[in-house]
Amino acid sequence: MDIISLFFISLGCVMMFTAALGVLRFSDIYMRLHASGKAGTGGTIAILGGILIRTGVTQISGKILLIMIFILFTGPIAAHAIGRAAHVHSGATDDVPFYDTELKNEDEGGDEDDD
Amino acid sequence: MGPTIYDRLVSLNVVGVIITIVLILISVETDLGLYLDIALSFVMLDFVGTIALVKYLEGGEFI
Repeated sequence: MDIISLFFISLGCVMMFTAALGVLRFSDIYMRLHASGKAGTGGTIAILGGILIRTGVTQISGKILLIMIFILFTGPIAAHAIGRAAHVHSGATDDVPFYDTELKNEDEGGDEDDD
Repeated sequence: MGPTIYDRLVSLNVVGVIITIVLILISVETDLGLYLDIALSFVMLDFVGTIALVKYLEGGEFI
């Protein structure tokens, strides 16, 4: 039981590291959403599931299960809302694809002193 | 982080999730149930704040 929880916590740590590295290194808003939306939510579920296996059925594990289900539902909703707002803001239509819009040009222009 | 405000929103989302996990780990390790309530309310406020910022940036109409 201890080895299984350690495996899940280690898997979650690797996935969260992948999400943070993707957000740090990718160049576009949609690539960053791809990294944080899937690897972030999956890593959170893995870490909290490992903690649930470790603690057993107590009063603490009920609240952890509640937080886990909440993150499982609201992580993709938040990622979808951010992507939709970026797509609306960029002004991309059926005729103008995203890589020709002004959000992409703004992305190319200003990454000298912006971090 | 990032040239546009949406990149900053993505990194804010990731940082909020990581803070939640650290709060839960503190709570399990020290047997203090107080940190679990803090983590639960932090998750809810993080989600509501993200949705409110996105709705504001998208055009300012709250439905």
